[in-house]
Amino acid sequence: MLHPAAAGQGGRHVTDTPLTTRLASSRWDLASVLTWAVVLIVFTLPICWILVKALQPESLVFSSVISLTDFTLSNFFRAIDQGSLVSYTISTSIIALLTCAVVLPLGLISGYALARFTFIGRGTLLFLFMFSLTIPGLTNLLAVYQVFSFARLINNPLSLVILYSASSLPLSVWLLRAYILSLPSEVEEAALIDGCSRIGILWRIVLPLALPGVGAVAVLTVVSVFHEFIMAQTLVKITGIGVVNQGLWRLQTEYTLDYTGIAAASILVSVVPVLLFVVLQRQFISGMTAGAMKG
Amino acid sequence: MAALVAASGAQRTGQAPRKFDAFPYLLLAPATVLVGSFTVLALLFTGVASLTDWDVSRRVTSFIGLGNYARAFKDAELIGSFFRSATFVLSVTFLSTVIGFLLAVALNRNLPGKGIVRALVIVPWVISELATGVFWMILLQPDAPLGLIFGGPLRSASGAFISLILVETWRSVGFAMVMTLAALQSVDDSLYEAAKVDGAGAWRTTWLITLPLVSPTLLVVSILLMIGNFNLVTLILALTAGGPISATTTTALLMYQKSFQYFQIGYGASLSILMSIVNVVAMGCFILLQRGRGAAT
Repeated sequence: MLHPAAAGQGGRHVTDTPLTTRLASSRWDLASVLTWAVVLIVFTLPICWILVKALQPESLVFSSVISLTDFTLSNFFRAIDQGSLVSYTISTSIIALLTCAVVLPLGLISGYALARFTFIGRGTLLFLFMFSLTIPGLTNLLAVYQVFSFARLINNPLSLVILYSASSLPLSVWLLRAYILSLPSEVEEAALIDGCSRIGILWRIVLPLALPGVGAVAVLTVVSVFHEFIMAQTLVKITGIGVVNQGLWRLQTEYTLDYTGIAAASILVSVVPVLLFVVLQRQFISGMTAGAMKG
Repeated sequence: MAALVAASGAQRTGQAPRKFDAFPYLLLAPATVLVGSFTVLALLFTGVASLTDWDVSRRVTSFIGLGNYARAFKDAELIGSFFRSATFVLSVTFLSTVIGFLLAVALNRNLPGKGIVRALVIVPWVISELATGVFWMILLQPDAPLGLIFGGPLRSASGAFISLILVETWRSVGFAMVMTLAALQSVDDSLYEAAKVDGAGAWRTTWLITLPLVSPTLLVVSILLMIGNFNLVTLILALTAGGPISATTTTALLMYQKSFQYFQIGYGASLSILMSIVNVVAMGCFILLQRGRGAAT
């Protein structure tokens, strides 16, 4: 949630500021040591534990002994093989790219129209996008499934591209509108006077200036595809086609007792989102907060 | 929010445009059709389906009016799931918001290496819901170290339910923290300095200055977490699959099972509509809150 005043001018700047020191300078007092300890034990230790299990042979699955010499990659190979993870990763990447190919241009032109034009019905459209933003996909899934089966789109990964585009668009429109609102409109006006066409303005002026915003939306869209499971599992039931989480689910339901293999798979399906987060932390966090700001 | 107020103001003055301009409509048409068909049409379809006895085990489908809704209000399974949902949603929301707030305050102060701590707390939110469920399913196995300490929590009804609450809290705290942190960073430093000059300690400053200033944000975070958790299915499937028996079957999971495992489409649709009503009410509170805040500034 951003401060209202900041949100009006595209609040992304607020979250962009580094965590600057406020009153006191950083120091190791009892409270900081406790905070670090709690965070490490509660948030990091469980993940490290799963990572260790993924690297240990099956015989040590419930053991607390950790010995570097025992570490093996066999769980990962088994997980990749039994969960069809290579095929699922390729499929997920294609779906994510196609979804971006729909969401980024449509989000940009819609955000631009909502930011720069005054027209009848604008309030209604703003409401539609805000309304859709908070309606979770789950309650629509039944209708989507039935309509897609009439249209013979079940088991067709294109159905996921359509579905993910429709569910990512409201947030993308909202973010890009806020981003364009934060840009000065003088350049566009000058270009119009100089005889630049309106499409030309969009392509040559708005797009380059709004590129960081488009980038943040791209990150969010890709991560949301790598996060998705329930819609894909309902709509596409061909092994190896769909999203990575389906590979993990397959291992969990078919090789129930292979805990080390399942641990390896759960690490593998988390690699892309976590890498994107580590590399693009700033865009990620601004998307996370601005997505909820909606204003 | 401020922008939204400005937008509705502009719309009012735009009631009589000098010349009709199709350009913005053309720009908005594709996105509107795509989004509109998924929200509006899906809602209509579900609404109509909820008035039928559509079921794959039945040969003929006919309209039965509000029969599904009458059945829903007498369905002990649904009522039980709704109480579980309410307990789950309120517990997760309360815990995540409080812990997220405390962590944000700690990070905003003088914590060394706060960038790293922030990232570590967000990681559970970055990992997918399914992977999170699988992580904890393994960690809480009766023979695993953590499972041994708590006596295999996923095997007992109350243990599984509490585990579910704590795992979802583990996942949501990062979100609450990031949102609160963004609000804290826009708080004027001079307020803290004034409090310090007046001799207020860290606890008093947090309680009397920080909390009131970020409480609107905390409310927004709470509503978003409520909507998210009320519709949560994937994590439950991975962690407990609704069991043991139905101890962790929330309304969302029950709706999913009725629609896609038992293919009672008509009944599942009526549950979807009932869930949508809860969602829309929560969202209405959210929008009112946002507008209220926008108007206040």
